[in-house]
Amino acid sequence: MSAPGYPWAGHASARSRLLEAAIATVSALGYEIVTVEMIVDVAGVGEGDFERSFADKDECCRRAFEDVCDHFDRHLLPVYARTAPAPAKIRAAAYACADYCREYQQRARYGLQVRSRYGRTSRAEQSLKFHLGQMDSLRDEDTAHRIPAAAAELSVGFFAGHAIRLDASGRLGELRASIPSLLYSVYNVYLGRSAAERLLQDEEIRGSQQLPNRSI
Amino acid sequence: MEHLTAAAEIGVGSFYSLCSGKEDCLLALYDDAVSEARSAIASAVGERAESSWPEQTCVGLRVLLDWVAEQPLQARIVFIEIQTAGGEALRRYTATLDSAAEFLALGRKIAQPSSRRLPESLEQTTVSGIAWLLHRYLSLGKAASAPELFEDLAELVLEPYLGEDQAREAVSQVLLAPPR
Repeated sequence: MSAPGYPWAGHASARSRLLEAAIATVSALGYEIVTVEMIVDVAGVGEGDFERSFADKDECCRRAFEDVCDHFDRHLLPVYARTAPAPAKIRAAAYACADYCREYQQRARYGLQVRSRYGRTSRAEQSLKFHLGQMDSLRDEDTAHRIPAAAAELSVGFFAGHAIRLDASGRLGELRASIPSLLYSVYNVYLGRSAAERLLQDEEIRGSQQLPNRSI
Repeated sequence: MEHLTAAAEIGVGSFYSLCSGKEDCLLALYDDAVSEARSAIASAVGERAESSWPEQTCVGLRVLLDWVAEQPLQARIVFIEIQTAGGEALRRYTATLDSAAEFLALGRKIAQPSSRRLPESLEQTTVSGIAWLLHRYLSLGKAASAPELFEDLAELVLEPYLGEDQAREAVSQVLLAPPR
């Protein structure tokens, strides 16, 4: 890998290039294999630039993970911010998440790969709590008694866990095809089996007519 | 590597006579831990070989959650560390989840007629979600609380096949049954 082939070469600051290079190399080769020299080489900057920006590989990769969290949250924020019933918002967010995994596959892969290493940092926790809170907007006062306390974590887990499986077989970009099934499980947790079955029927009708809209 | 050999109180040469590297060592640990968890589940389910799929599912889930609480270090290997160790590790991890999903898919045979609309990948989604939740509990140092998830998780696993009332009934029977 060399810098000229990468889109950030010659444009971004040295720090930004190093973060992008960390995402590119780790998502392609895995954290353990990647060295500071590889990151510096792919970023097309000098070793001095790395030393001025980060203490070591660990700090560089942690910052890159935080950058991915920011980027992903910004991608979903407009969907969450819309005025719509919670189920419609979560559905739109699910498709936006799948689109993110297809359009920013390196970033998504990176996030999934280093999540176990950096998932407890304050920025990562903040990001996760943000999405858990949005998921919990599905809680209905009338059915609250039957909704498990860990419903949001389990529901986010349906998506994250499935994305990990797809990534393991190089099919992360295909997450969109699994959204009806993932939403079925989420609706089953929050709204019950009947609502989940109705959703699946609706998604099949939508799917037979056209690809689901990216907006609500 | 230094940490590993120091903790095991062996030399680097001895380490390499046992494992080809750090990844190989982690894979061996993973296989051992999965084998132990599987044995515990198979033993408990085997004692109820004549019982129904819902009961076997509940028993298996209960044993898994108890195992996470009792063996948090091994559970960390199974649900957390394996995901950091590259392609072969991820392949083994997903193969483990797939075998659990295959067992859950047996529920389709006894599903209520109204459950014909089950999504094709329901079982994979269910298993992935539970694995992610256990990853989270272990990351937060809450492994000891994992058994508290049993009732909610068991009902959620069974509900798509049995409906809410029958799922609750099946879980209640396992909760009330004396340990064998």
